[in-house]
Amino acid sequence: MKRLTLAGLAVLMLVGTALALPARASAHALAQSSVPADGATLQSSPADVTITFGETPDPSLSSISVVDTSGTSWTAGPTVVNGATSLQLRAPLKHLPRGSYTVTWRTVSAVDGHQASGAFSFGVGVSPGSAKATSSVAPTAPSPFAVVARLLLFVGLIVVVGSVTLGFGAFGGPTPLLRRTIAAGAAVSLLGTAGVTGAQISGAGVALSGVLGSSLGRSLILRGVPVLVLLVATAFLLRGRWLRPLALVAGVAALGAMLVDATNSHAAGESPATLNEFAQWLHIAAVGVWIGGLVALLVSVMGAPSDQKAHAARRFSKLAGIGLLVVAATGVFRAVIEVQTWGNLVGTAFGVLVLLKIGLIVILAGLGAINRYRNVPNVPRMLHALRRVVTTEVIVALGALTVAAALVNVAPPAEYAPAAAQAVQPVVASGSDFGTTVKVHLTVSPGTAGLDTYTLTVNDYDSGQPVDARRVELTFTLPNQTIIASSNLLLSRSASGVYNARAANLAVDGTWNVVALIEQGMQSVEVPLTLTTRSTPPVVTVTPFTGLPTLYTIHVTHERSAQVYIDPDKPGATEFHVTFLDARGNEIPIASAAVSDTAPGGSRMNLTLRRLDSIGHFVADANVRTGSSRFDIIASTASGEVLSTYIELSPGS
Amino acid sequence: MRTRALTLAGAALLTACGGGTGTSIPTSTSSAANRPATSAQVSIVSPSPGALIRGNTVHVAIALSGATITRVYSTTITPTLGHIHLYLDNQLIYMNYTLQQDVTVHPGLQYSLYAEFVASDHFPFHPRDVTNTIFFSVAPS
Repeated sequence: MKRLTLAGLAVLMLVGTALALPARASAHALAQSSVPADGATLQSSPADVTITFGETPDPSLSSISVVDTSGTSWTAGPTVVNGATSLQLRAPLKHLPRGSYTVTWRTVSAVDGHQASGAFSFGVGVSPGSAKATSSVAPTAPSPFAVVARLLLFVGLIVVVGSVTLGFGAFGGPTPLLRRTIAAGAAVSLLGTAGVTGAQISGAGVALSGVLGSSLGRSLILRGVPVLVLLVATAFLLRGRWLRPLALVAGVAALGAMLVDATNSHAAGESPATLNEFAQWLHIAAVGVWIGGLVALLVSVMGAPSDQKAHAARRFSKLAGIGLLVVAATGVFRAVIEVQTWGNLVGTAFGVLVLLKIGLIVILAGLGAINRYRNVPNVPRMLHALRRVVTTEVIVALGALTVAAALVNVAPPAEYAPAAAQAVQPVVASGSDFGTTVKVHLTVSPGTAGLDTYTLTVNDYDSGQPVDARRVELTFTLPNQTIIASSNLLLSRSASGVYNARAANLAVDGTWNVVALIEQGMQSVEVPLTLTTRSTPPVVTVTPFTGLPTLYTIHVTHERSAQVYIDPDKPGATEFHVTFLDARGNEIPIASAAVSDTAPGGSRMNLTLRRLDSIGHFVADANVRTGSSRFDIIASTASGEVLSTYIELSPGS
Repeated sequence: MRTRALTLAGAALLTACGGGTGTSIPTSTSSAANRPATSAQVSIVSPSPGALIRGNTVHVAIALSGATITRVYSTTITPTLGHIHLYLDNQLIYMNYTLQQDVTVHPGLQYSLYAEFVASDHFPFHPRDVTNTIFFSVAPS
């Protein structure tokens, strides 16, 4: 009882550790954001499409294509890694004429070989609403072949581990029947390994020659080595020489193959990777001891005298108990990391499979308990009942392993979350007029620069009743700059107290002042609001220097960057420098520029920008606080191009 | 058996608890780099320390030896090429790739002035090539 309580505590500690770890799961290379963004309306042709993924894609096996509504391709070259970060892929484009475009992407994860695909659309000069593809982000569905292959791999390896463990634990070495079981397990694991790599190569849609230099090729070699060692050890084992050392080699090789599988699984894409990979490996190794041992027990006692069967059952029962606890602890740990929320547990395919697996393991635990506490203490009298329960356990375990094989091929819900949130989360703002007459709530969807849908609800400040206004209008101003002029948008009434419109007043990324004008009869009220567009975080190259301020290069577009530093690089009075550069590193002639500083806590101040040369170098006095300050930068080039970006700086950090 | 079942049930219940996902800006950080040093000598010729300036402008003249001013922006740093950053009361002011500049000042105030020779990417050398800070006053009007 005391041991069980301690084991329970160990499980809870592991779960606690999982909860305390930073949540990040990205076992498939799914798109998290893109430039242009999904649904964006651009004023001019972008030079390329850049997609940021949640996990490193293998560029040699991944692709981005861009087509117009007639299906004509507009990519100007192959998909490549985008410079600084391996998480980004970029496809260069030809000059796009006005129209709607559909971007489709397909990735093979460099971490675990899983495939994923998706599509989104954007427009040049027009809304992408008429594009034929709707936004989607999804891993490629697992094929039955991939699931069966993974099941064979699991079954083969756990039978080897279980047979070796039982051999040493109950018989002092591998018996002839166990040696044949090990050989069968090795053969099945070979089939499984071939199947898993075959399924990955087939899913990647490339020829074998293209695989060799890729992450899949490296995975193929890594998987093959321990399986080959296992096969060689097994071949010698069947000859009946050096039984104990060879059985040990076979067991270690099987554990090695499990380790390779763990380091090429969902676990490898999660943080911290080493801990997750170790937990994953421990999980499958413990399944080997427990379930593999069960299979080995069934086989090894066939035809044996009753007392030998009873001895083997008693010894195995202890091993199985340990195996079960490790399986439960590591399984829960991994599930918490991957599933993350209650909603994901019941609302996603991955979560449902986890629930199913937990259910099957609980059944297995129950069956194990029947054997441990009722049948094993009474062998050889209860041998028949013991065998019947063990047979049932093996069948249920096969079901659990099938579910596990499917889980390996399904993306954990955690990796959908950023993409899904990115795709649907609108920008909202609420406020009331100075005289507290009305309350308004403005929803801007998708909330990115460009075409958006605006929905304003107006309610009486005191009663909360919808307010039917004669006229509702929004005025948009990007403060402290003269580059983007203020604009107005008249909203139409769609229901009582609800007004909406679709327009592109949020012309560039940034924090906008929006004033809602509500006219009722002869009276009108104004409600000031502040909106920050939902933008793809800019890619920033950080260059720290010994004894000097840190230099930040913000990649505004593929061809434009802004080089920023603050001097001195510490909280207090400082100078904010910004220089605008083109793709070749030359200064871009800037007609006008503006910068605002949003301090930690949210207070925003417009900085007075001064020219330091006649081209593109500006400086502003700033007083930065300790913590992260956001600097919004907007500039207009001499040729009329508008550059808008931001950077978050933590001075002195 | 009951204890084991309870432990498993508890673990299963805890399975779905967890935090949300974090976000991150795709950023690459290189290890601390070394900036090149310059042997250029920079000094303030005018105004002289403690000078009393009359009028609304002060003529600032900088002497630079061992390097030349370049207007070309480049990330390829040459220790003998760059330009001057001029700081009046710790505020960087326009110098436009020259060694002389008339700077507006206000009567009756005292000012500090120093200059720095920076590289062609507008970023300092290491160690920084900075003049001594001088102080001057502007006569009351």
